[in-house]
Amino acid sequence: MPRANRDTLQGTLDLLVLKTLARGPLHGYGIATHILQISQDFLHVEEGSLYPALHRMEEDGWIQAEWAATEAGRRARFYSLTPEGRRQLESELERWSKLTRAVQLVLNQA
Amino acid sequence: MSLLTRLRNTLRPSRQNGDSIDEELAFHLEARTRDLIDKGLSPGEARRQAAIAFGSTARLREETRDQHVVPVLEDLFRDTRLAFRSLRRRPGLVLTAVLSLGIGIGAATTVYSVFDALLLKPIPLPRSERLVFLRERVKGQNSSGNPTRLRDLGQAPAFSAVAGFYGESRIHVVPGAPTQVDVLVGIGNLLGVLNAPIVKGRPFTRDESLGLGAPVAISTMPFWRTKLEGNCTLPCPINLSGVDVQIIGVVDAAVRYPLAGGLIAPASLSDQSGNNRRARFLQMIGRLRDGATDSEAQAQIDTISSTLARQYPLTDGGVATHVIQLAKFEADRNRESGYATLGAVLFVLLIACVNLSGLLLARAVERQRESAVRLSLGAGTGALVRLYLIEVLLLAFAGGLAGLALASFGVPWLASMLPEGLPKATEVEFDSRTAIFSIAITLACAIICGLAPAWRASRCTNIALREGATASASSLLLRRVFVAAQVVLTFVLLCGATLAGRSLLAMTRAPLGIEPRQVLAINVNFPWDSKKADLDRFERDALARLSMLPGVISASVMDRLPLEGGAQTRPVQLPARTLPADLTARPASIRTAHPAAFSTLGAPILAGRIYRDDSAGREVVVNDAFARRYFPGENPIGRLIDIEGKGSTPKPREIVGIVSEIRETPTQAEPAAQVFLPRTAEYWPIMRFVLRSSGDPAALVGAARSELLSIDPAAPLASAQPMTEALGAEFKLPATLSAMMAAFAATALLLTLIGLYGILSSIIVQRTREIGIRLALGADPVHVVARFVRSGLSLVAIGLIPGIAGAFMMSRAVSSLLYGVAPADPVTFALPATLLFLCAAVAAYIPSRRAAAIDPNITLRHE
Repeated sequence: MPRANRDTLQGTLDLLVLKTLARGPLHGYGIATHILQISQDFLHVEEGSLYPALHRMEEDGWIQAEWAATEAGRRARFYSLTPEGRRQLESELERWSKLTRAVQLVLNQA
Repeated sequence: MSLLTRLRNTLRPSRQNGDSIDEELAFHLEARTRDLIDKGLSPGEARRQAAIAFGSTARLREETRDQHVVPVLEDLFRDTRLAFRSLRRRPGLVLTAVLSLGIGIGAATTVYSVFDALLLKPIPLPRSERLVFLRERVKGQNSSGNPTRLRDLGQAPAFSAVAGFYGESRIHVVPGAPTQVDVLVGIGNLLGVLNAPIVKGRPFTRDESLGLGAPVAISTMPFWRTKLEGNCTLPCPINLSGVDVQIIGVVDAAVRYPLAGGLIAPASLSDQSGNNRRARFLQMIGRLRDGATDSEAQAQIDTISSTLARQYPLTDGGVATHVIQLAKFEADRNRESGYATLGAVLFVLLIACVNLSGLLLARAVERQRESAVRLSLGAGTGALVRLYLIEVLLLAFAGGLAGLALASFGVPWLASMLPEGLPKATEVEFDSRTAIFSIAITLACAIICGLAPAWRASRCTNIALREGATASASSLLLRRVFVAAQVVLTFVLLCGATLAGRSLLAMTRAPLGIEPRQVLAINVNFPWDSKKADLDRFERDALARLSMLPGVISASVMDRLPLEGGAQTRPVQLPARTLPADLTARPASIRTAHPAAFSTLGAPILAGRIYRDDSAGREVVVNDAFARRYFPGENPIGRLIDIEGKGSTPKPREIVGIVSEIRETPTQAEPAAQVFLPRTAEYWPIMRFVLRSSGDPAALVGAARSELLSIDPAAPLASAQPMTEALGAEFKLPATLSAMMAAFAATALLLTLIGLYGILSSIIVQRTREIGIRLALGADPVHVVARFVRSGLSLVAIGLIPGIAGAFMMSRAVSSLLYGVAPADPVTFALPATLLFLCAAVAAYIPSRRAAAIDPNITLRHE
C-alpha cells in the first residue's frame, strides 16, 4: 500500500495546485499560502514537495510559467493553467470524487 | 513526450536550468520572511524561522531540477567530465593503460581474426553444412582418393552427389606476359557438390564434366575481374600451357573454397573413365541429401567399402573411408596451434588487465581522502563506485581504440604470414566479427580492471580522513595476489615460448642431407595430363642448356626439393623374402632424381654408386634409413626390391648405392626410408631443377629462366630462387609462431616486472617510518635492501609453484606441436624460472635502494 499512498498523495497535490491555478495565475509561494488558508491551516504544502511538483507539471504541459512582477514590484515566477491542464483538472476532479465515494462506501459498511 | 524534453534538457548546459530555480526559491524564502515580519517577528528571527521551515536549499534545488532532466544521464555526464579531468592529471597512468591494453587488445584481435577464419567461420559456400569430406585411410595411413572408387562410393543413397578434385598450376599464355594460374581439376559434378552458382555464362554440360569434347573451364570471379573482363566475352578462348581452352562461365564471388581464385576445369577423360583403382591423388567431398545424416552416410560407405574390399582385395583391401563434416575437417587441421596461440595472447591480455587493476587499486587507495570527503557530503557508495568505473571505462575505451588501430595493421600482416594454399586463409580479414570480438574483450578488460578498485571504493569509510593514511593491509594483500597471479601466467608463457623456440631450433638444426648454399632451385610444374615423351624431352633439353650457362658447375633435376614434401609413397616388397607384417604395408618414399642430382646437391654417397641415367629404373639407390628398415644389419647393395605394389607385375630393381637421407619435411618425426630412381623411370610432371653455381646463385635466375622459356614459351615456371631461400620459406610459419610466442612472453615478463616494482614501491612508502627508525637505530642499509629484494623474490617464488603446474599442463596440451623436445624436459622450466628470478631481482632492487637511501632525520621529523 505505501506506493499507492505516495501516488495518491502526489495526485492529490497536483489536484490542489491545478484547482488553485484555475482561479488565476499565481507564484509558488502564493499557491502554498492559498492552500493553507482555504484548508483552514490544515494542509501545509512543503516547499520540498511543491516545487518539484510544479516543475514536473510544467514539463508535463499542464501548467506554464513566466516571470512577472508582483504587486510589491518583486520578480517572481507565475504559473498558470494550460488548456491541457484544464482537461487534466476535470479528470482529476472526477477521479477524486469516485475515489472518495468508494472509500466512503467501504467505511459505511458496518 | 516529456521524456524527450527531459533528454533535451539533460544535454543542454546546466546553467540554464539552475539559475531560474535559484531565483524562484529565493523569492519564496523572501516572501515567507516578509510574512513572518508582518506577523510581528524581528527580521533576523523571521529569516531564521523561514529558513528552517524551508529546509535544505541545495537538496530542494536538486530535486526540482531533477524534474527537468533525466537524472541518471546527467550524473553520468558529470561523472564522465570529472573522470576526464582527473585522468588528465595522471598522464603516466593513462599512457601505461592505453599502451598495455592497446597492445593486448590489438594482439588478441589479430590472433582472433585468423583463429576465426580458420576454425570458426563456415566454409564459404552456399549451404556448406551439408558438405562432408571423405577421408581415406589405407592400412591406417592417411591417403588420397581414387576416381573409380569415388564413383562406387557415390552410389550411397545418402549423398545427392560426390566429387573429387586436385589442384595444379598452369601457365596462362598471354603474349609478352605469361602468368601462373591455379586450376582446380574436378572429377564428377564438382560444381554441383560445391553448390556453386554460375553468374555469367553457363555451367559444364554433363559430357563436358566427364572430360568429353573440347577443353573448357569456368573462371572464378577474381580471375575474371583481373584477367578476362573487358578483354573478351563468353565463351572466351584462352591458352593454358599450350592448350586452347574455352572459358564458358564465371562462378559467383561468394564461392571461395577450395579455391579462392583461378579456374575450375574438368579432369581429362582418361582420368575419369577407365578402371584404374590404384592411383590415389584426389580430395573427395560429397553433399548429403536433405534429411540424410553423417552416420547414415558412414554406414552406407562402410557397406560399399567392404564389398569393394572383397571384390578388389589388392587395391581396396584395408581401405577405410571416413565421412567427416567438411567444416570440422578443415578446422581440425589447425585446431591445436590455433587454440595455443589464442590462449597465449589472451594470457598476455589478462596480465595487462591485472597490471592495470593493480595500478588503479593503488590509485583508489591514494584517493581515500577524496572519497571520504565525498561520502561525508552525501554521496552514496554507488556514486563512488560509478565514478571509478567510468574512469576505468574511459581507459578501456581508449585502450580498445588503440587496439583496433593496431589490429587493422596486424590482421593483414598475419594473414600474409600464413602458408600459401592454406584453405580458408583467404577468409582472414578484419570484419564485423573481429570488431565485435574486439569490443567484447575491451568490455571484459574494463570489468576485470575495474572490479578491484570499485570494491575498494565501496569499502571507504570516514576513518580515512585521518592525516597520513596510506595503503591499507587488505589492498596490499590484494595487490600481492595480483603480482603472484601475473607470475603464474608469465611463467606459463615463458615456458611456452621456450618450447616453441626449442622446437624451431631442433627443426632448423636437423640435418638436411644436402649442402644448400650456392644452389639455385627452379620449380617447373607441368600439368598431370602432359605426355611423358614431352616431359622427358623438356628435361633433357633443359639440362643440356642449363649446364652450359656460365657460372654453373653442375645442373640436375629431381622430383621435389628437400623439405618440400609431397613425394610419392608406396609400400616396398622384397622379392627374395617376406617382410615382417608391419612392413608389408608401410610406405616408403619413391623419389626420382637425375643421377647428377646427388653431387649437385652435395648429398654424400655412403656406399656403392649412383645408377646410370639410361638404366631405365633397373638400378636404384636407397638411403640409410631404408637400409636400416628393410635390411637391418646387412649390406643392401646388390639386393633386389620391388616397388610396384601387391598384385602388379613384379619388377625387381637392384640396389646399387646408399646415400644419406634427404630430409622430406621440416616436421617429420622420424627418418624417411627413400628409394631413388632415374627421372625417366616414373611419370612425374613436377620438376625441380637444381644448379650448383660457382658464385651467387641468385645471379643465375634471369639466365636460367630465359633458357627454359626458350625451349618452351609456355613452360609452367613457378619459381626460381636460391635453395637457401626456398628452404627458409618452409620454416616461415613455425618461425612466425615462435616469434609471436616470444613477443608475448617478453611483454608478459615486462608487465609483471612493472607490477612487482609497483607493489614494492608501495610497500616501501608504507613502511617509510619503520625503515627510518631501523636505519636510525643502526641497521645496515645493505640488510634493508636485502630484506625487500627477498620479499619481492618470495612473491615470485610463491607464484612459481602453481606456475610450474600450469606450465606442465600446458606443455602436455601442446605436445603434438613440439618437435625434438619432450614435454616434461626440465630445461624448459629451469630456463624461464632462472630468467624470472634474475629479472625480478633487478626489479626489486631498484625501489629497495631507495629504501636504503631514506634519511632517518626527515622521516622521523615528519611526525
